[in-house]
Amino acid sequence: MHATVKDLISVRDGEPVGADIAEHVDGCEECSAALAELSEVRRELRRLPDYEPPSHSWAAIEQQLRSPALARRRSLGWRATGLRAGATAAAVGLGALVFVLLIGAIMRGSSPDTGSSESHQGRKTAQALEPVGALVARSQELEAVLNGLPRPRVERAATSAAIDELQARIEVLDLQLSNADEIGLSGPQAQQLWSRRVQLLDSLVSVRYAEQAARGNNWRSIATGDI
Amino acid sequence: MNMQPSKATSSALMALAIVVTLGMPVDAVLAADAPNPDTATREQLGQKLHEAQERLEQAAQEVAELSMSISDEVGPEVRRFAHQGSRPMLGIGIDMDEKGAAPDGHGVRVTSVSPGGPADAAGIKANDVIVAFAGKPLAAADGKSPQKQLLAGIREAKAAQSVAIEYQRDGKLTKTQIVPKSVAESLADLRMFSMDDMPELPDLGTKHWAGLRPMPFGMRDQGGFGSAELVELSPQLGKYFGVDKGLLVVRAPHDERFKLQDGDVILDIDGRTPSGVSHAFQILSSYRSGETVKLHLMRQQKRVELPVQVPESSSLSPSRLAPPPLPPAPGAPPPTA
Repeated sequence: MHATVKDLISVRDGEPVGADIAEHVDGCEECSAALAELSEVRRELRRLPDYEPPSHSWAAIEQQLRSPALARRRSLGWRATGLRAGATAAAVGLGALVFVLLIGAIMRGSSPDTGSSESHQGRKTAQALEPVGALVARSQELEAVLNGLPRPRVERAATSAAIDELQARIEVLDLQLSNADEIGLSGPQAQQLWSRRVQLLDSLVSVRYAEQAARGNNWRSIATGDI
Repeated sequence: MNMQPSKATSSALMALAIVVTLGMPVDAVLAADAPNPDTATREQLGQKLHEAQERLEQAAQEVAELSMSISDEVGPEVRRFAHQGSRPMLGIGIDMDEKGAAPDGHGVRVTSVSPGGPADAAGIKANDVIVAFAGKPLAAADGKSPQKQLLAGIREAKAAQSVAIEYQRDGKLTKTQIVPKSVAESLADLRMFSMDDMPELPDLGTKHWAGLRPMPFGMRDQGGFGSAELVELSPQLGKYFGVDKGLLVVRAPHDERFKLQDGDVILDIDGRTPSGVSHAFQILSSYRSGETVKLHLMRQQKRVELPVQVPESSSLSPSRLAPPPLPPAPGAPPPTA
């Protein structure tokens, strides 16, 4: 059996993989080619200019998914060609949505090292200057999205645990923010906590969207905006 | 602790996300161009879609975990709460300045609601105005703001005991009950993270998280128990299995070494009754590879004890194990478990 993408990425990044996988990749033309392609993708990604995704990226996508024209097109497509077209629309829409959510989460959550500590510091300062009011507004928007995503009854164990962990972290941030006076939280500290809260909510939305996609065929309603 | 990831890590994740997400529509588009698929083609398409959805779920989860591990800090002052274990909390955020009070001075505006927390469970949302708590109206009086009165009321409440709460949303008054959670329980959840310098928490007694070891990041067992799909049994559903509670295995883990089968009901894990799907995962994750754990199950209405040696999670990969079974046929009703 060929190596998975995950395995290949591990090989590429010099992370430990099973001896059988490493041996297979060495000897398999197809896997070696895929590995070379992944290395090229990384090189290309490193050449990309530094980019901070718009803070409301998810909202823009959701708005597009909700647009009557798109919904009608998807609806017509679904009826016209049945499962195949519906699956395509759902997959394309959800794939694009989660792709942006994932990339957004990576970019916001990780602040990737650009090789310039000066530019990194500049970005940190810019983030620190984001007013609490804007962070609160984003936080509320993300909470509204979560409220529209019911938890499926059937849960994948690892995903369920990840969701619980994210929620626990948010809860502890909220504990501090709601008792700011008592614990003497400074303005910048509160701002930092709000920023962290938005990041965690962003991640939670990504995981919950993906969970919806994988459980109970609810991806249909996500793709058509009926969430 | 605030670790910055390497550029390689970020790039790798971006590449993974690209491959995972772009891989899905391409498959579907190709299949959509095929004329009049027969049943086998539909099943293949369904299989591919299911696999893509599973990869997507895993990728989103991995990104979330990376996001959490990059910045482990949970706030500068969280340790102050570690010695107030029984203190109740509602899982809401409020503003202590004038913005946090309703314009007429009656009530406290909710700024944020912790997902999955007590207020969320009670149906409270951001921007709702809490007008009464534990039967006491929240209005400025005796130099105390409504916010201070609410905080005082919360401190007087008892964790796990329901309290009356009234709130307004769009002018409509709702009266309901809320069950505060203890700070200890919340911080105990947090112990599952890599909080090496966390002070010892008060004894949680029979709390469901008690006795678990912190689970470091990177321990996710995607191909092992983590790949299992489970549902909490309702009392009605439990009647079919001869139990009143438990976790029904809708789809067994990819790794057959867990010996679980579709339709099993997990009753307890080494005597610890999982309170939910996540808790079952956390319990199993607290064992080291090679340790033996006894799973108590209902299988075909008979009690079964399965000794399971916890596999080496890093040696598992979903793709190296048997593929998941086919999803329901198109048009079939969603699972009703």
